[in-house]
Amino acid sequence: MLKYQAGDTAAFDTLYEKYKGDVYRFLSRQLEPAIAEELYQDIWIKLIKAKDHYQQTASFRTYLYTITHNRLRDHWRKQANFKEDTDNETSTSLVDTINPETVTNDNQAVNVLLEGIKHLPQEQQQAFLLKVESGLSIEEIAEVMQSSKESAKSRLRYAMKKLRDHLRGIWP
Amino acid sequence: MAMSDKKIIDINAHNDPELEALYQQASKPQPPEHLDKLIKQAAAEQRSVKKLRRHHWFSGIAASVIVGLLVLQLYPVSIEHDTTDYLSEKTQPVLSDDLTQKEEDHFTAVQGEKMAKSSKRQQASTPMPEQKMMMGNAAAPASDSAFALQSTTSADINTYSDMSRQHVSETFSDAAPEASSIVPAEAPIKMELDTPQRMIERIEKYIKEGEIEQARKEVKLLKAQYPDFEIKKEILKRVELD
Repeated sequence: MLKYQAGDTAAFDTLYEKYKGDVYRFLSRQLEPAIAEELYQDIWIKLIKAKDHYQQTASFRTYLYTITHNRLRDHWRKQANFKEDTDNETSTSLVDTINPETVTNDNQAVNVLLEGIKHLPQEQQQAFLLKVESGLSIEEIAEVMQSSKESAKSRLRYAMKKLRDHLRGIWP
Repeated sequence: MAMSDKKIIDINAHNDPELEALYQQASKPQPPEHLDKLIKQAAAEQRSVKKLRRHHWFSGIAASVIVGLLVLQLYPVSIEHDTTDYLSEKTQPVLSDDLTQKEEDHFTAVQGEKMAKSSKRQQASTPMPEQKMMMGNAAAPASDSAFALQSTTSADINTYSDMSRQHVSETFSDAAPEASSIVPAEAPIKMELDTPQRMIERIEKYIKEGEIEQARKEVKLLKAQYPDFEIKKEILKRVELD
C-alpha cells in the first residue's frame, strides 16, 4: 500500500489480487449478488481515493476490512434493516428458517451453513465471516468492528452457537 | 453411518474448528472480471489525477502570483486617480499651488471692498488697494487721508492729502500680489465683514453706550479706509471730529 501511495500502480494490482476474493465473499455471503458487487466496488474505490491518507498504524488487511465493515454498516442503515446485536441477546433458532427437506447430500450441509450465515444478526454475521473467511484474529475483529475484544468474542460465540443449533436442528 | 453423517455428527459436537472446516468446503467465488478491470483502471487514473492536480496546483499558484503583481501595479494608479478626483473644485483649495494661484488671480481681479477690509485687518494703517482705482478715477481727493486726520489746519490738510495720495499710489503699485500673498485661504470670508455701513453701525453703538473714544477710533478708521464716504455730521460732532 505504501508503494501504491508512492505511485506504484503495480503494487495496488498485487494487493487487489491478494484480497479481492476474501472481500467479495465476505460481502456475497451476506448480501444479494447485485448489492454485494455494488458495495464491493465502492469499497475499493474508496480505498483508492484514500490512499494518500493511509498510515501504516495497522495491517493493511485490518485497514481494508474496516472500510468494508463501515460500508456495510452504512448499507444496512440505509436499508433500515439494521438489527442491533447485544451480548445478552437470546439467540433465535434458525431451525424454522431452513426447510430440512432440502438437505439431501453432503454438499447440502455446506449450503445449509451458508444459508444459516445469511440469517444471522448482522454483527454476528460479520464477526463469523471475519473469522472464517478473512482469517482475522479476535483482536483484529474487535478493531475492524470498532468494538471491544469481549464484544467480538461474544458475537463470535453467539454466531457459532446459532449455526450449530441450526445444523443440529436439521440433523438430529 | 455414511461419512457425511459422521461428519455432521462431528459438527454437532460443537467443535468450532470443524465448523470452520465445513465452511472452507464451500465454493470460493471470485468477483466478476468487469469489476476487476474497473477497479484497476480507477487505481491507475487516480495516479494520473494526482499528477494533474499537482500541475493545477502549481498553475493555480502561478496565476495567483500574476494576479497579485497586477493588483500591486494597478493599485497606485487607482489611488492617484482618486487623489486627482479628490482635488476638485469642491475640495479644500489649500492643498495645491494651482489653487493658491487661482486665489491670487481672484483677489487681484476683484479689487473691491472685500480685499480692502481683509488687508486692513492685517495692517491697520495701510490703505486698501481699491484706493488706487478710486484715486485713478477721482479728479481730486476730497476726503481727508489718515495723515490729514492728525492735522487741523487747511494747509496741512492739503499737504497731507497730497502726501497720502502719493503714499497710497506708491504703496499700492504692486500691492495686489503682496496683499493676496499674505491673505490666508479664509480671507474671502473676512473681507465681507466691515463695510462702511457696518462701521457706522458700530460707531453709533459706541456713541449710544457712551464709549466716545472707541467711536472716535472707528471714525478715523472709516475715514482712512473710505475717504470718500460721507459720515453724518451728527456723528462727527459727537466724536468731536467735525
